[in-house]
Amino acid sequence: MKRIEHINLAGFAFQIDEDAAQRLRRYLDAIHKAVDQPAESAEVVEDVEARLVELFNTTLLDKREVVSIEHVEKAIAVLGEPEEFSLKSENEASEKTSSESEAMEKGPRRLHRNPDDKIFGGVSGGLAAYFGIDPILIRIGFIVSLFAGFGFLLYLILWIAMPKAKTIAQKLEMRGLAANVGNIRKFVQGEQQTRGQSGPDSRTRYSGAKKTGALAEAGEFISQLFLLAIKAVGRLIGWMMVAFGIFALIVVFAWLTGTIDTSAGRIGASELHAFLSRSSDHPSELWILYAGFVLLLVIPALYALAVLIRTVLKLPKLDLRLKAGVLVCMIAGGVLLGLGLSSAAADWREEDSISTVVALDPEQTSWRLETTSSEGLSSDIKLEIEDEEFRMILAGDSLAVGWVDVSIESSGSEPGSILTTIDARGSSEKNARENARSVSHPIEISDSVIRLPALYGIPSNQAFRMQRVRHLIRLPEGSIVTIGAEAAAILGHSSNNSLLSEDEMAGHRWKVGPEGLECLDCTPEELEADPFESRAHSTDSTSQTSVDLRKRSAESTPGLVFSAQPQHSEEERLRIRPIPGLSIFSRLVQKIDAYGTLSAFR
Amino acid sequence: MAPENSSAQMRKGVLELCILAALDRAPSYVPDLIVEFQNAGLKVVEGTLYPLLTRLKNAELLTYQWEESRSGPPRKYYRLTERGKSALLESRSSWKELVHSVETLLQPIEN
Repeated sequence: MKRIEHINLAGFAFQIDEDAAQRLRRYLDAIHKAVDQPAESAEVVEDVEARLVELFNTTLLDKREVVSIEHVEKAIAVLGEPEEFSLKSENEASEKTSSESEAMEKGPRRLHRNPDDKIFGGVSGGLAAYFGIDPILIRIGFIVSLFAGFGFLLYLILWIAMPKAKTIAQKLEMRGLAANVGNIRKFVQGEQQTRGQSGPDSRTRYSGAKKTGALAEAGEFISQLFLLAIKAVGRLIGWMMVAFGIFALIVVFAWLTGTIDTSAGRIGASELHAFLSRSSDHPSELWILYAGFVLLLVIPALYALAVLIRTVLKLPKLDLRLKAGVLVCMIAGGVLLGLGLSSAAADWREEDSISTVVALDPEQTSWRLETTSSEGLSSDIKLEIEDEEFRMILAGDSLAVGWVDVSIESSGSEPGSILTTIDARGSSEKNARENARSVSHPIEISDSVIRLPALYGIPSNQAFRMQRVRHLIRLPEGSIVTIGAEAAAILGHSSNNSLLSEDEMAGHRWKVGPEGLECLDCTPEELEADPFESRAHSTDSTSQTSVDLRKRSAESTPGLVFSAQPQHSEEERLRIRPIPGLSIFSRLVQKIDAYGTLSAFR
Repeated sequence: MAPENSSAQMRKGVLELCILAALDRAPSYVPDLIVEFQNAGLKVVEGTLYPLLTRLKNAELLTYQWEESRSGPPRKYYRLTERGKSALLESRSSWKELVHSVETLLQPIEN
């Protein structure tokens, strides 16, 4: 693709390619200078322009066709090079320019390393040519800055950034001279002249004579090695970018289409956004994370897609600047994600819990445990996660979390009570306790019925901070508990000595005994269920320690780590149990890692 | 102005004469002149003629008139002025003399 310019030649409008326009401009400029009588040059240029219109019109097939560099070259072939406009012979012309070197046409200045005037990499020589000053001044500057500490790095960066002036055109550009035929010829002549003259003092400003020594040769060798290494690293980075981009493509595709099917439910972009906005106090934090996500994953994904398509279609490779841009985006994205996550993590840093005790009527000896299941949640469900241990429903503005754990144990001869512990995380321990306090989890006790909500609410102005509710129901030995059918879902860690799982405990009457709960109305079949199937095997006889049934199932399998686990005292248990703290996140991540990405392609 | 050396003077002189002679036959614009020169075996590009025509016109040896063109802007058709015609007449005889002299001098030495 080329940019075009609109130009006016002798009153005729043309669309012309940028490079062709540049060539034409230089050509007309050169004619203006070449005409021997300055007074005549304006009229000559006018005539030439009028003739150019004719020439273009005869070569262009269509009024709309764009004048290309070929058209311009053809026209110049008819009209002749600018030197033809002068009647002086070529020798005279070059004599004139070698005596008055300023006569070389000016052009755009470009920074190049000067291979003809160098001590090490030609950086100083290039800078000197660029600014039109003596390279010795630049070299002194570098040596001074070397002692200031940044000189070496500066030199290295410039070395990498500045391309070496290899062609004569580049050598001319390095000095801010137009790279046209006339200048090139003059330059080459100047070079030959300087070569003819011997002695180091004859270096003219346009000298092309090489000033190289052993140091420069060593420098050249090192620079070659250096470039080679940079190229290798660049290629490696390129491959890594594509590999990362393909990975990002899969992740982005999976997340945007919401096809990740975890056991906790489908989690797509909208669900994730709903969850994240409910767990962040600062909206800006969220947008930083998203920006990071886009920069780190979406852009490389698009990049990988482009690379793959181009490879398949055998299109030319992408521009290096684009690749560098993608790399910069990825780095920026990584930084943003890191900032966002560390800012978010600060809100989750500390963990603490609050406990409340509700005394139970000592007169009651028979209890019934029920759960209140349905809470007034709106039907606008944005997110629903359900898992063995964890439930989360985000409907409208209200967040309901089912992360309740109920244990029943013997209090011996003491009166019964319910110890409710709410764990939460926060930016500080105080903040964590505040977050725990915000949880609304009403316990209803009427006569002999204990009602515990299966889901607890977190107020809409309160962010989710992994609030978790645990109830420890302590009943005097000999009390009878009937566990409602619904209550099984929240019944986590009650030890019973009848080899039954939580699900199987529901709907039965239990007696609080010294070694746990004893079933009063279980049928022999239920009791004789396969211990491995029911995953329960009573080994501990201490009634006060309620051991996680899942742990026990592990203990029943020889060789597992849990078998060596020491028993904890009550206090220790309270402190250790909340540790599944970050589990919901780690589990989410694990699940997505393990099969979430794969399930996207199911 | 830098002094022009003899070869430039000569080239200019010859080309000026050629232009005058060609325009004496028929008024023309630059591409016509080029065709005529090429037919005569003279290798000149258009660019060389523009400054010469301008100079001859400024010296009032030539004049031009605009003619409409379908392929672009109006063309300058040059023709000789009266001064140009007499200049051509003078130059023609001096050229012939010059050629004769030069030819004689260029003869290889025999005997």
